[in-house]
Amino acid sequence: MRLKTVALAALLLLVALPLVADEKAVCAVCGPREGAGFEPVKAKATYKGKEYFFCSLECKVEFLKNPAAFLITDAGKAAPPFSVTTIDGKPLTLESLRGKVVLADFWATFCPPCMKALPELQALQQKYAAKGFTVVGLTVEDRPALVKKAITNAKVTYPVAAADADTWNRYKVNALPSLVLIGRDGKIVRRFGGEADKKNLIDAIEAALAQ
Amino acid sequence: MKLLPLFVFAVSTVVAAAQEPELCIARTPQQRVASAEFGGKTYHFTSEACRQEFSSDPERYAQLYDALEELEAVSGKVAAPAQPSLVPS
Repeated sequence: MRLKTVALAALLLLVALPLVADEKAVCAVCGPREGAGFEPVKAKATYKGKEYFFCSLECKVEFLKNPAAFLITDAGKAAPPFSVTTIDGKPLTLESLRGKVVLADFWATFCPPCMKALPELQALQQKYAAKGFTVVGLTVEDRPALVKKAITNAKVTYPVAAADADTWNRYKVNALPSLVLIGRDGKIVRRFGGEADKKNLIDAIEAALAQ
Repeated sequence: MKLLPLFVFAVSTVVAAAQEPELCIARTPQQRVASAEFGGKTYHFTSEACRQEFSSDPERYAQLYDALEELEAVSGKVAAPAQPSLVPS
């Protein structure tokens, strides 16, 4: 009986450990500075409603000393291309969405604000899709089962795909969630993140759709 | 007039400390000049200027001070500012 209990505990640990240990993201400091790819998350910080991930405590300290140095402003520039395969196996490129207003949502299942945003983004999809709007979910996860579970629970109907580190670096994603609004002309309208930006996001979507 | 250099030094010390969080951390009771509370924790500072800077953005600075504390605990060394400081060691 005791042996069975130990064996069961070991099995549970083997299953649970990858879920806990597999948090990877682009470091908010090393990503923009060195083009670093996905690295194990060693530290996190919250700044103005967004969660930032770091490859070390030292990077977290460097970021918190001067966050403005790591914030990105690229409104009006061409959105970087992406070419992904959605979780239901369909190819998807930014180019194929030209003419639509696109809200690229960079997210992960280990990011609580990202998970909270899923049904809210689905609500935006339902409200504005007929006017030529789409959300595109781009996740860092390489755990498709977790992703599928999350989007099923949130009843998400917009395309969701795993994006590689190159895509994250091209979009300079250094915090989660990162929302990048792209106009019909393929140019970045604005970046959003955090609770305080919700009203601004809706206003920006409506303005972009009116173009 | 003799006090002028001392005054300049004192002002520059305050300015330098305000910009170097490592120097703002009060590590002994004797260093505690000011304090502030955030998230159920009390933070002690070596100057009023440090406290004011903390209070301007407590969510950010609380995380920064907690991270510096954790770094010191892990490394066993006192964290030093990255830039040279006007404050003598």
